[in-house]
Amino acid sequence: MALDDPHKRPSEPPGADRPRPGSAADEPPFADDEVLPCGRLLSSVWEEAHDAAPPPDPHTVSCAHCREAVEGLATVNAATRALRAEDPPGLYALADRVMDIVRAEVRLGRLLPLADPDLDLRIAESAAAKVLRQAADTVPGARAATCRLAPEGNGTDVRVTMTLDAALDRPLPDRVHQVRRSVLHSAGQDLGLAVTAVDITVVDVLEPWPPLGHAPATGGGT
Amino acid sequence: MTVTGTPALLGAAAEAALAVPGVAGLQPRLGHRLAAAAAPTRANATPHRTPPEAGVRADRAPDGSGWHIEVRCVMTEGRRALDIARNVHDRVAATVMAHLAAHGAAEPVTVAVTVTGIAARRDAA
Amino acid sequence: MIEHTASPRLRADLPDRLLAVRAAEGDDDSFALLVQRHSRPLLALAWCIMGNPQDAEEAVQDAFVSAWRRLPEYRHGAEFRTWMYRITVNRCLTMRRRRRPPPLPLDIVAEPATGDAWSQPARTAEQDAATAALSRALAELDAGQRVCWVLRELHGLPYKEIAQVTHTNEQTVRGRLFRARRSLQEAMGPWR
Repeated sequence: MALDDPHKRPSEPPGADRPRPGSAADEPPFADDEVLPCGRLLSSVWEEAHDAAPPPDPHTVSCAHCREAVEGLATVNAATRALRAEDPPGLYALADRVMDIVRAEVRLGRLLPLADPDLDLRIAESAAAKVLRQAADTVPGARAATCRLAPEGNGTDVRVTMTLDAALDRPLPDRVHQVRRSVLHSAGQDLGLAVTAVDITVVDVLEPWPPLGHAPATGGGT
Repeated sequence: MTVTGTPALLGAAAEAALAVPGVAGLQPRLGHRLAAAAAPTRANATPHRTPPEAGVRADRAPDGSGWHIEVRCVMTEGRRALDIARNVHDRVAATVMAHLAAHGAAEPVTVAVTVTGIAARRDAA
Repeated sequence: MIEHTASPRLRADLPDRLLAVRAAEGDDDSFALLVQRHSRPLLALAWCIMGNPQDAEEAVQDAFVSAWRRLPEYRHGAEFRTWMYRITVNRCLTMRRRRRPPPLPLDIVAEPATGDAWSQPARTAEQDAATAALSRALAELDAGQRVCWVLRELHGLPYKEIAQVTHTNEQTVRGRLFRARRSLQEAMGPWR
């Protein structure tokens, strides 16, 4: 399948953005719309057939006119399913070409001193941030968002400012402490950066991902 | 004569940097990157290749007393960036000084190393 | 030239929002993951709008590169997916305006890839022909109607998101969808 079946998407509660197929007492909302003999609008009946999850409108189920209107789109629907299954060509080559261009336009950010006061050795902020975010990610229930680095004073000292998404199943201070320790360790071990401070702000709750809930539900009671 | 001139010097410096374990490649400077980005991008276009020297820059010191070399490199994951950068510094400095001496133009050399990226190792599963 | 692989340490469970924040700060590995996640639906979308795979690839490539450049200013007001859809649709419509006339024939299924016979279950000739007819009928639609139809029927976007992508409102989206269905139904009449 090239695309997921859109009707399985949970993002739209059934009928949430759609009026129930009502009578056509008012002006038809769309040009070329049609009032069926039963009084329903063709556009509404089609919308319901495409968008609605059970339970269906009892009228549509029993009304011959509505059923006929829905069946009128059957051929289009069948061909649509086939079209949805088409695999677009060039998928993998496309991703490679995009990343070639992106990597040629690398955004380095600031240049920061590595921890050797005698030599002129520096590291780009974006390269260091990538490693430090990964260090933060190793802490369960924490994921780094932004990560900025700035030189401090005239030597090789560097200050890290990080924002974090964190799960709420454990006290935040513990988790923040763990992240700080992991970042400091990685800065010394993986980079050779003299990080003097790691300022961490938790900005969002880390939700389980993917949000569809494939994982079995954990015990509901307390 | 340009035996000690910039192109040969840049090539020697680039080669020395690339030979250091942990160096994945050299980062082309902006001019080369723009050239690469302007290359055809449609399907079947071959990727634009930049020479390794594009990651090295050599300038005369302001007072004319020697050379200042700047190397921009991408490291591989798994080794400390500082250690690799030190090695790059030492190897490039030694190579450039030897290159100049071999051409009868021994001069002071300073080297700056910038780590522009850290690439994942191919063998890391 | 440096060989890149997606970092094995970059976590695949990161939500788009975090990847976009990281990419905005220059993290190309995070952007690669976003490209990997979204290029399939975007390519399918562009293919339907542009009518041929070459233009579709060019449009999506341009859209991603443009997104990379604009990420530092991206305010995260819309979801990354919606933002990306919008950039892609705009890019496609601009390319089409620039190239019109002549109108592009839609050959979405007219030239099946040679690998199809191996990778897909056999489809009857009749199904193929019906799908091809649908593609041609789609090509005849007004561009605005076609975009709405493709986003709704092939991508399953909610009306609200389609309205965001197309800079319209939900009522306009529903109207375009209705007229698209009407035209497609008529065009597909012979296939009943």
